[in-house]
Amino acid sequence: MIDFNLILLYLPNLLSGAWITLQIAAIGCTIGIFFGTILGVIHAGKNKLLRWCVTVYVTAFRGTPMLIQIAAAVLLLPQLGIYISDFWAATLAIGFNSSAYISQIIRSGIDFVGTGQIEAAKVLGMSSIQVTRYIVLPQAIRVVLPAIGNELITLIKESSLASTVGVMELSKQANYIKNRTFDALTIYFAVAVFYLILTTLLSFGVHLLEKKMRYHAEN
Amino acid sequence: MLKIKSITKIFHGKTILNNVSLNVERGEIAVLLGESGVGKSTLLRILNNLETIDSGTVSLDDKQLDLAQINQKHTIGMVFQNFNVFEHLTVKENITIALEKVLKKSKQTADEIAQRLLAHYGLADKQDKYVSQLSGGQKQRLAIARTLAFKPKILCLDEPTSALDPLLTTHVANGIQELADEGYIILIATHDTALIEKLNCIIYLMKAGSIVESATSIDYLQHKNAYPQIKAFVEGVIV
Amino acid sequence: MMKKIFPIIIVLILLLISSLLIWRSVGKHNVVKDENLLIVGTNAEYAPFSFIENNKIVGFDIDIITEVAHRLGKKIEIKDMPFDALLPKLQFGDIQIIAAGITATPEKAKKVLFTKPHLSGDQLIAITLATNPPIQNLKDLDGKEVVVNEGYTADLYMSTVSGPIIKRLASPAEGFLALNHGNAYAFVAAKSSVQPYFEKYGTKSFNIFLIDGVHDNYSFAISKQYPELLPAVQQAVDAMEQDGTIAAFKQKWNLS
Repeated sequence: MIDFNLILLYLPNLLSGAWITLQIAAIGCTIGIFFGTILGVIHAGKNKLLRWCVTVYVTAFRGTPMLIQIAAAVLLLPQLGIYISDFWAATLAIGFNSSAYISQIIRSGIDFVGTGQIEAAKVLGMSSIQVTRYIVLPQAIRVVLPAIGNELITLIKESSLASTVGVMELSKQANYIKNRTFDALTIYFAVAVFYLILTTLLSFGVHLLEKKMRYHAEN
Repeated sequence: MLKIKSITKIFHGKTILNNVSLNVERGEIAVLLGESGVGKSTLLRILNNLETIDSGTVSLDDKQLDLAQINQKHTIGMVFQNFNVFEHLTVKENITIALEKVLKKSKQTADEIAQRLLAHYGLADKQDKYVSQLSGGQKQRLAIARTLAFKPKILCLDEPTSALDPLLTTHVANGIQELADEGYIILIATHDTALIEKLNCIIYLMKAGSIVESATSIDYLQHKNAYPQIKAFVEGVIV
Repeated sequence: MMKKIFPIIIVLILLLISSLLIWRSVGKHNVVKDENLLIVGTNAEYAPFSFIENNKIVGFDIDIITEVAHRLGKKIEIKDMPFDALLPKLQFGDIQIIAAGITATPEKAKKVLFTKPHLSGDQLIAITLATNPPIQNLKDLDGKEVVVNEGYTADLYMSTVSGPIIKRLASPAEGFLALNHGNAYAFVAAKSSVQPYFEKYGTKSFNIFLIDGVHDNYSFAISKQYPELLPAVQQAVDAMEQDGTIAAFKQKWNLS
């Protein structure tokens, strides 16, 4: 049966792993959203060269497995003289990978807003940056928020890939415990509950954000 | 006086505007009349720096206008066919946002300007509502108010009646006439012949990128046969 | 608020129920019907104990268990699977024996039956690059990154040593990759698990430090569903020790 004593005994390990997972997810999300939005705006813009650069970036990150990207980050960065911990190498790889996906989500949101309001804002004298920031993005993000929420939840589960380079996040802590106790069932159960809590917290956060951004009727 | 001189625009080998010239005085309404695709909307868009030109000049009171800067100088404003109000902002914010971000007005000043305009256009009670709750006519009034907040000298209206209930045409015409009386230079692009009958304006009939006939509305209504092309267009006959 | 929590509660309940069902099915699952068949589970990713060569599963443990089956007059069926799957399958009784270079520990012995080690004295070693000064004792690793293979004896041992920063990677290949790329200062493993690498690439670029008093040993794990297999298998293995079969296999696979 599920050995709850075992879970209690190894609770510090599980909590430590959950904390690392949360950090990976939070930092990864932040990079993903900020950088992804910038890329999305560029991709929806007029500069052909920059648009092409974004296309290459997105193709690279979406077209190769994240596992390889994380391994590459750990192996290649030192060659370039960049010495960062495995945690940061993995988290950055995960964050930039996420930004590739989010850039496409944002871009579709921008397309949704349409040129009409953009032209009206331009005629009123707003600069391109102001148009993007005050007119386009608020509406674009509001529209694609559910899609972004999905991407972030995926990110929490993908954070487990950091384990392949040694980061002691939740699933690796689970392996640690499994290898010592040989009790897979209990650990799978505990870890499932932990991931469930993390993804639920995130969903709730996205839901709150959606409510804040809602601007239809009800006034 | 607004002097539009020899505007030509060619796009992908097709001549959209061919050497178009016209003058509009203060308080005057110039109506560019014609079918879809003759270039009337394009001319308005060019004046608002939404399209480029291949040749030609535009001057106001004998000073040449740099079209690339015209938005920043707020010399001109445009009311779009679909109004293009900002969906994520309230009615009041639609007016204040550009005042605050572009003219850098304080929140209070922007607020005052917005209140005055909203009151004048009968939208004061809706100021905190989102634009999705407005009717078409209300959205248009908002679009006009938003533009007037910048006190442009020139006002363009692209197909002002096509997105509205035909019963509103008289209201729209009255509103435009009022603005002309206040001294604005007004240019309208439309194919709505009912509108011109309610306006005191100068009609410029366009075909294939050129102005082919012009007449004051009063003159036309009294001597329709002197203006065969306009007459044919108004009566829906293909010439 | 309740609407949001409701789905989560349902999922938690489902998790509990499925765990209960899984647990209850232990012992009622797939009991091996054929008396003349020995079903062996392995994870063929651990040279030289169990690995794949020319599309066949080969290795030290494989050779021994195949001979055991022969001596018991049974046919053998070897099932390759991810390491994590071995124990649950053994507990269910889907497989009867695990032959995969497993080390017996008291914790694990609570769940399965172990044979006496058929290979012991496998020295734990710390490997460092020859470009670094050789290690004089384990304290030299304080504050340094040390790779171990997850779940192996080196992992269990080094985790109890305070001082080094432990990095757990999946396999010897990754261990050497980290070592060669400067992502780790040392790689600690049982000699047998790195033997295949050394045979291929030589030891010239490495320094090897023998960790005193720590040796690995390897047994077979037998399912508690088939307790009668333990004495039978043990007897066969003992006989193979006596008559030199095991020694011959050790020589074949370069194991001392």
